[in-house]
Amino acid sequence: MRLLCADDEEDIRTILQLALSLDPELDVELVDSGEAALARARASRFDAIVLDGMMPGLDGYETCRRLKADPSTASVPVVFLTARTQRNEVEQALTIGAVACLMKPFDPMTLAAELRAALGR
Amino acid sequence: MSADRRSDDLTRREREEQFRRLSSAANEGITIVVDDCISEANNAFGRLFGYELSEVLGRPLVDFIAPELRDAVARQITIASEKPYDARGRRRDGSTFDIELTIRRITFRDRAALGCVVRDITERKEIDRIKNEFVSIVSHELRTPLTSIRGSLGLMEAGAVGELPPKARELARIARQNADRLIRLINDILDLEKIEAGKIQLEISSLDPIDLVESTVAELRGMAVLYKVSLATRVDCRERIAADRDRVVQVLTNLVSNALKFSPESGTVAVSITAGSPGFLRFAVRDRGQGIPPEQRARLFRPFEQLEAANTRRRGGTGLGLAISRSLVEQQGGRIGVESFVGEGSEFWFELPLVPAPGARETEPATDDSPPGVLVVEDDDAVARVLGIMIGRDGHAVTRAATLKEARQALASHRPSVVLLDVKLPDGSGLDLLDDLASTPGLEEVPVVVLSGVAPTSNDRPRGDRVVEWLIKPFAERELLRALRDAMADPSASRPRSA
Repeated sequence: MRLLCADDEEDIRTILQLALSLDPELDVELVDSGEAALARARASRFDAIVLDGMMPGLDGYETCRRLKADPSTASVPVVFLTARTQRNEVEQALTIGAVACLMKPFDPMTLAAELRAALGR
Repeated sequence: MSADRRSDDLTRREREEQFRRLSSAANEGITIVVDDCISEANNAFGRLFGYELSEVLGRPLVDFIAPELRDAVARQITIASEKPYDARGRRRDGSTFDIELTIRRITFRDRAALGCVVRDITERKEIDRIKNEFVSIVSHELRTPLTSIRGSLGLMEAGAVGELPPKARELARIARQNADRLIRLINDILDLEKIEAGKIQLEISSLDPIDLVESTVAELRGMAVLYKVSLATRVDCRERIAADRDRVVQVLTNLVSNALKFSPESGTVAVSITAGSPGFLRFAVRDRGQGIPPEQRARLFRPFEQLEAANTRRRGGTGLGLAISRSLVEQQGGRIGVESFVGEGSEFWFELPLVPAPGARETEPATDDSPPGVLVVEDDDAVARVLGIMIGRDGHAVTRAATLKEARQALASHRPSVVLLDVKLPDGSGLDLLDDLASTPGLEEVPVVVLSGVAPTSNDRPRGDRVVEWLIKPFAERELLRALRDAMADPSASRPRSA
């Protein structure tokens, strides 16, 4: 399964890489911004996209809206991985087309399984 | 003039003189308003707004209010609710500042007048702003580095990046557990802040209490095994409650996990559902721990008030669970408490409102003698029950209608001060009632607060000129009560039927 993950924090990208590589079936590509996520998602086919909610420039929410508005990326499921997880924020993520909202901090040993459960794969 | 009358005048002058002396020492601005104009004021009133005392006398009170809020304050003056009201004051130099106004009706020199107290709340508002900013920083800025710390420790401890020597693995475990504890603390602080600020949105529905208890207990079985404590449930009452599912599970989880932590090994924690006070269901969690001395029980539900017993901190609690539970239960119209016997254990309990049985009505039908109250038009029994409790707690009488037909019957016998209107009703759209109100003499000006799952469309707006607020479900209690108070503050709404 090809995953595209966007997070502006370098340390968190390192941990995401390590945590998700524990699942040998996941092929993970990391980018550091919403803009980069949009560009990569348009250029290549991914099975799912994981977005940090708060990023400078294009934040996760706006990135998700644009992914959903673009016919070439609209069908790719989006999961939020965010430090803002109040109920209305989760609802906001779901309203704009995300399939799930996972919470930061996460347990790296169960993250891949949680992602799979959220994606139904 | 008779001797009695002279004596009365003297007494009144003495009282006025005493009042002047007293009010001159106050920090709040105090003024007496007759016919909308200031008749008396203390020095602090002039000082607050940058005037000499002689310059304020005879001027309309609204002159001292920021122009954009003058209409709203004029409405407050009309109703003189006696409840503190936040507004913005306007100083002589045109600058504005945050004030709190309290207005009540008084008699002054045999005339109807208003007593008005003005407090400068600039500092309080600034503290609120700093607090909100702090909460936002806690929410995001602390969680982000904690994600890196928790993630790194979790990977090291699990050997995902190579096996660690046993002592290093033990240290990684200690660091990871404490990172988890810090995360719980941050989440609890945020939760409590949000609940206490009245920002929590409740999704009230009709809930099966057995399902709530069973799913909570199933989630905590692993923890019970860890603490070597058995978990038992007892159901004596199966009536449904009107509450928010996630929030009830949160409270139950907190009480049961506390009981597990404080039970002796091989003890039992019993969760029971019984009939509570009339109209309420009682959930209770009984442990066989060491019990809580009476003098410590009152403190339990306050933030950061874990008991001082030697082992409490080691149990990994944040000291906020019970404070959060209390706030959540109270916001759902319930109450929470504890009974405990030292050496024998404790029983933590909470009660939540029952969904009324079909056909039962929360309130008596209104009569001509009833005080004007809120007509709640809502078909969902669970939501209606909690709305009734919230509005009742705010001091208003409540009449309930479950259908358009019942609402029309209620309006025919009684003019409410506000209608709280659900849009989706079994016999039509609640918005049809707006047309009825508009075309019925005496009811044209009854303000309406609409409750809806969706925002109004352009079709809804034109007939909604009496709609003072459109609340989207789920809504916070504070939002609802503010909308109702604003509706009642509407001067046209407070006119008597004959007006």
